[in-house]
Amino acid sequence: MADIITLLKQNYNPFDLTTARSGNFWLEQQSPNLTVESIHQEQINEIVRVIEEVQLNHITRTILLKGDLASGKSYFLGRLKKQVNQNALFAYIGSWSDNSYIWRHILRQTVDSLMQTPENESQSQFLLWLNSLSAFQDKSLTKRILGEKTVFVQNFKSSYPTGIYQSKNFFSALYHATQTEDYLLACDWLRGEDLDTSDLKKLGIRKSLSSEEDAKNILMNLGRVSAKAQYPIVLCFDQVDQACLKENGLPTLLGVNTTIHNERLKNFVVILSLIQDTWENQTTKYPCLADQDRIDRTVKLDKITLDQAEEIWQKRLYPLHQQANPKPDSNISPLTREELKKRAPGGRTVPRTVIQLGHKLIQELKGTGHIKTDDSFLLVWDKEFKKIQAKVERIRQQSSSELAQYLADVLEMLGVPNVNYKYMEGSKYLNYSLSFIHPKTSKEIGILWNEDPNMRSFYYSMSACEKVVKAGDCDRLIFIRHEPFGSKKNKGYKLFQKIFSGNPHHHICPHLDSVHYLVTYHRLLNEATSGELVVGYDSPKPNHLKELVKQSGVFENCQLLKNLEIIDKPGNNGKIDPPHPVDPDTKIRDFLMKQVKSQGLLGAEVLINSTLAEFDAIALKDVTKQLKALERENYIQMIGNDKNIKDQSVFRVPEDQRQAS
Amino acid sequence: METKELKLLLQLLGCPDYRGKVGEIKPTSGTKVSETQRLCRKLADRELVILHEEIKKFKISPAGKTLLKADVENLPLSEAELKVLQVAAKGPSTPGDTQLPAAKRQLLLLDLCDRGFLNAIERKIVEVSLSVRGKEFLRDDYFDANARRNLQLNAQLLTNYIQFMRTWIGSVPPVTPTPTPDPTPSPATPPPFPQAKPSDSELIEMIRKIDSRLPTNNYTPIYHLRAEVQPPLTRDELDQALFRLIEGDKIQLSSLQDGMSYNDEQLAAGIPQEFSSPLFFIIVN
Repeated sequence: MADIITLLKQNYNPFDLTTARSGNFWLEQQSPNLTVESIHQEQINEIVRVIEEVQLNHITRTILLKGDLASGKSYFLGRLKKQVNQNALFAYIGSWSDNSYIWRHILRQTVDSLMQTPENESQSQFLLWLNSLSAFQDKSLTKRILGEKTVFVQNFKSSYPTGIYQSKNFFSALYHATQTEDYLLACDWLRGEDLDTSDLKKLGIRKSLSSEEDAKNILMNLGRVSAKAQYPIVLCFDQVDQACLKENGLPTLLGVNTTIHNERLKNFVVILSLIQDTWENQTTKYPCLADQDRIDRTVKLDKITLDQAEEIWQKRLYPLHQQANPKPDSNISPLTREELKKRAPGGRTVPRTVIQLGHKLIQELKGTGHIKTDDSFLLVWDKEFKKIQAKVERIRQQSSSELAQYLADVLEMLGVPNVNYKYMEGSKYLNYSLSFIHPKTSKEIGILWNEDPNMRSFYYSMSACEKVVKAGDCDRLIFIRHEPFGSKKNKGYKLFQKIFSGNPHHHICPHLDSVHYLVTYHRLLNEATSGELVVGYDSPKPNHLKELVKQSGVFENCQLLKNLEIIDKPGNNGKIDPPHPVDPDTKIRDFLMKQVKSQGLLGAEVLINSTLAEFDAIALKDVTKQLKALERENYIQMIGNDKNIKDQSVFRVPEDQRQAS
Repeated sequence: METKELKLLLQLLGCPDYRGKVGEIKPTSGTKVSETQRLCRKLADRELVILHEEIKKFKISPAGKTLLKADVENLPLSEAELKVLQVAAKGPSTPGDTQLPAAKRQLLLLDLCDRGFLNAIERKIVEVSLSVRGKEFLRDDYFDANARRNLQLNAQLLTNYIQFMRTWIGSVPPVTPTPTPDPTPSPATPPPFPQAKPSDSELIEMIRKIDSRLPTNNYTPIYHLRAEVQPPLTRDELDQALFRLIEGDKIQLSSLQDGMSYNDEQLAAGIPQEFSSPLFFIIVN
């Protein structure tokens, strides 16, 4: 048995900095052991009561959730969802990029959320809800005669004789959503994808949803139907500060809120989660925001007290305290309340600071001092990237306009000159396009990214391309598309062949992997703007994040950028690019170095175990081999009896000393 | 003045009461303690700092020996002092050898040295404080003739110096009346005499007034308040008062998310946080 200090030195720092921030509650699991119930409990109860009211009377309510930077707003929403998900449908709505697309953005994100599976359930929110509707319990004779779908749609139509927008299409889509083979397709229609005729035919629907009006009305439909099942829909607008700080951002959001109220969209609980500074300053900027009347309640997430801060520490330290012998003399030992007090002006602080301080103090105790922001950035990136890999399974989960915008953001971050989102002016595909000056050739490059499955959309976008090419607006036009091109006979395909089969214009087929890069960067950028991003002890602002991403070189393996020749193909300029696919030894080695860099000093046993857990099908000897190699090359030093590697400790050799020796 | 000496002084300005431990006032993170001590001694020779030393090893002086041989009852020595001398008489000793309570030892030893009964064999500087002369030097005299020299100061050191100068401006009425009018328009006429320092509850009233005058919707940037109460309060005094008000749940401070709408000077009025953006707005509860 070891004392607490030894245990802390041997184990991972219990204050994992990547847990100091939260985001979309569908991407993150909260560990109940770490939740301090007393923090913001009153505020949770207050909102739960509102949700319960809406459950009874279906009258839409709006709550403004204000809190300081890092006061735990996203975490709070996650807790709320966890507590009431069995009684309400939860939608997470992040920042939007274009005010004139906001309803479509909300609808898309709402349907995406409905497709998520709540904790302890085996079906998505959407299916759980549909299955609870009475139209499904119909086992009558008529059903057998007329066919299941007809009865289903008729049942629905008779339950809602008026007030359902495009009722036949909408109910058809709901029906197909319950059929496993059509589920994704039906959801695609609901979230406003431009589907191809053959797909629409499968759903028995005439056309895709396309306008803001369509999106708003489908949302209204969802609200009305969910009222029958006693499930309010909770729309959580979170980390939307980026969009709200833009010209007319907050007025647009409040306008949406007013519309929801005025047009009697029923059964919604709208939660607007905003940084207090954003709210106060934007409302001073637009003093005539009469829409504020439509906010029924303001809930404020106050700073936390020293007692609550101590409890956060205590919960994180608990597992190690349990193992410690002798028992530590306080339940936050070896940390002290004094340390908290020093960083909490007037005895108030925010949860994130408490975790960051805990991390720093434990790091000092390990004798390894501060971790460098650059080093921890890779861990943050990896973690986010893995989350995105697990959640983004199809390129089309993002709209084409989002994809184009994300790509523009990434190019700009990489320092590509004259990046211009929305390039094809006067075209319906303005939002799908961008342009830039190629840093190596100085040529003007135009890009159109269209993943709409609809062949008509494909054709029109091709004719838009033809116009650009004819006018000679750019030196090279690139068409990005992964979706099929349809049969060789159709007009769109022929046009595509004509424009893109030769030089200089060409086609790139993107891989899902590249899209993961774009989405990961987009999310981090968004968090940085909302002040929610945590890297090491820093909360980098967007500009700092851009530097970190650039320096880290994480984009070097992004195939799409290689295709665009923004990033050199492997071996092009003598730079050592990681071989692709990366061989297992390098992977282990990189992993070991990342851990040692971010932890400084670590017990070898813990390090080995986490490496074994990280990779499939590797053996202890593979890990020891890499450890020995790193020691030989003087990247790390091992201390302790070298007869048994597990009794040793590993620490990082600082860069300057490594060079010297 | 050598760069390292200057940096050491600036480090000292960041310490409470301008007094710091040797380990805390290293001019650069790479400076060894022994070098810091050498620098401190040089500065002490010029009376810019006062050294607070501990005696690590000592022996009895001839004077002390004589003292012991003298008639004990008439000596102005306490029992403890006597004990120390007796221990020292046996040969070079350490503070531990005296078996006195740890808190008392150094005072006694230093006193005995000062009085010449003991000789210190080894002294160690524990803390250093800025002397009155040092303060005057930094305020009135410091001047770097070599204007082309590249001084690399980190923001903390610069802040220390600026804070220090502000303290002077805040607490001492100007020696010579300045004929130029106050450039910052202030609602009250600037009083000719130092104002009385406002109490905590008066501060709340002032915040309320500023808020309704501007108006700032009970979300008042802190620089408005500083402009009004510094002086008579120093920056630190105002911060401490605000912290007391937070503790009593009278006010809250909210941090700045996006600094775009403020200039650098206004931003500098915020209260920096180790892990987060500065506290910048005042909310009265």
